[in-house]
Amino acid sequence: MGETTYELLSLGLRYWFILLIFLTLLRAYFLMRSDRRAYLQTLRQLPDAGLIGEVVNLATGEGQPLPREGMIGASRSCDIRVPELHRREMEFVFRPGFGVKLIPIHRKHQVLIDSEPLIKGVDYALHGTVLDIRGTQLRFRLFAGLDLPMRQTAFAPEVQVSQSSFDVQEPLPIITSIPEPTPPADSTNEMEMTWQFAPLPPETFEPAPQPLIRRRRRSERKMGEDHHE
Amino acid sequence: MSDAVKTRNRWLVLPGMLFFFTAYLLLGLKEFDWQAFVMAIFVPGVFFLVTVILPKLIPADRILLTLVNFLCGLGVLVLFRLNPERGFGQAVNYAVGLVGMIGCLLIVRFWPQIKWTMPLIVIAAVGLMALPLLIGTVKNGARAWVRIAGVNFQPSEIIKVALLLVCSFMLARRMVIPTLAFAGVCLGLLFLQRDLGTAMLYYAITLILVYVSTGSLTFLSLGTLGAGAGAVIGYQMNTYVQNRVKIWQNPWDDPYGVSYQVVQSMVAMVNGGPWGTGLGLGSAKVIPEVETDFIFAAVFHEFGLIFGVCVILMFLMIFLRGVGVAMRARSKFHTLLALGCSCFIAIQTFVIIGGNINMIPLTGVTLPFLSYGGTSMVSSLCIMGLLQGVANANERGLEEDQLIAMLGEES
Repeated sequence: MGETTYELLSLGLRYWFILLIFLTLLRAYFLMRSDRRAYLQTLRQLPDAGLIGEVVNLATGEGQPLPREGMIGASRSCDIRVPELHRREMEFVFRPGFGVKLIPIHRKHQVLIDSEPLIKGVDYALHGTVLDIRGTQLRFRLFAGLDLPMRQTAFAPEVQVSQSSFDVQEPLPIITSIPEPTPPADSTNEMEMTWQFAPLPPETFEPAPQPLIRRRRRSERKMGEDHHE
Repeated sequence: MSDAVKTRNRWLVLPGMLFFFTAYLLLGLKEFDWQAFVMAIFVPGVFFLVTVILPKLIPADRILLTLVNFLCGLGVLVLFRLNPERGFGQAVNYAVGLVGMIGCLLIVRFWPQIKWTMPLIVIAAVGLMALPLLIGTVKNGARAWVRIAGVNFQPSEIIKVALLLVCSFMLARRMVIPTLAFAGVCLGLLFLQRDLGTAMLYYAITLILVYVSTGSLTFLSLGTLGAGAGAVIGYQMNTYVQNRVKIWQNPWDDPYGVSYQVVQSMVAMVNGGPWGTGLGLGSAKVIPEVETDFIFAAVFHEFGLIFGVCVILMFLMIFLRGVGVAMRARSKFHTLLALGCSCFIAIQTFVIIGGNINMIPLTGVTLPFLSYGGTSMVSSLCIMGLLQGVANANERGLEEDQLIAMLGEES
């Protein structure tokens, strides 16, 4: 190709190259913007995204959202802030299949999990676990969908079940109406009742709206089978 | 990443493919070079494969992948224009870097299973960093290169990845003193090697990560003062640092002597003007070290100011995307890792482009993704791999949250 021809072609294509890189940048910018909007929309539908539950201070009744990992202490930088404790009292990390692993920072400070001393290997908190740190009691409330083992209660009484209990002796009365819910009985420690009195959800009387049919992933189907088992 | 974004990503790839096809075709038409015609087919094809097909096999952030691959392709193009052998060499470096990127992505993905290797990583990093002092070669005043089995590499470039992993891991566990100790050892070894540009990068990243993890203004203030003190000490102890500061203050004092490189760079950029001289019509080869330190000047010269600004904006977008990945991260380790990777790329880009345009004194660091150099390309892509790993973890975390919410509703 002649020098003049090449020069003209090269000079003309300068604008083409600038246009192409400008288009790439513009496209990248709009894609980043739409991705961010989609992400924010997803977060709005998942207000508990990144959280695994709640920690309730049984003394004050105050609940704080529980992230997957963090620090419990009195410092403002702590994820679970309890003013009565040390600045940095304990670390926690959620381990799927095990629970919330608790790692005390100071070994000398006695910590009780469900009235049992915290020892290595038995230091996982599950749903309903009460953590006692020098008199400050914190109850863990974890979401139902988490991968957690069944919680073994410490003082479960042995119940003797006889075979006759399963024999149907007379037909059960037909319930014609759902009785009105009653508030909990007076207790010396009202804060033991962490669940507030609330009316029954409307789904009890009307069928819940059908969810959108969506193709379930293999992990979800497996999770559903395990749940039903 | 949403499905709509995944679909529309194809339209992000198309301008890049057209760019490389047209550019190599033009270079091929100059002297009917068959190598350029082969590259005109090969490079857009690889660009498409890596940005569209590869994310289907290994989940990755497609926007980041496209921008990074565009810059890598641009680097190969400019190097091919300057010296076809260097262009092919850079293409091989890119292939190796791609493998490194995938490896680092998998490291982040399987980190919970392999984090027990952290002490080994620390020992290996310190050992590699000390290697140039034992068997290293001097290049451009710095004993930072090692030659093993016929391959030259710069350990400090590779240890960037280790620095990010180690600092993020330790700071996530609030191990500030061990982090500072590790960074201090690396910095000390870099000072002994006289690789002050890389030392400056290491220092800046460590300072940023320590501040972000602790929130301590005391640390930040002390660190900034330390940086100032280090700069003064470096200036007093090294004559070449003094020369570089003199060049920066007034490059026209000795335009054919010590300032020749910077002067030629600035003249080349001015000659390019807003639209550039045209691909294949420039004379960027007169700039010393144009393939490594002054590759941006070569891009500016032939493609113009507007193109050069677009390249800078591309780096800025990579940084902003990385910061977005860090903010969406679910754990402290991932947050610090993503932030460290983004800041590393951003600071390195700022330092070298600032040196090219004489905004700051010139340092011996390379422009990520563009500059010629195997170790530089591999380390930059490995850093991107770490960032992609965190982005991938964010996606899986969000899916897990959706699953938890759904299972919670069913129960």
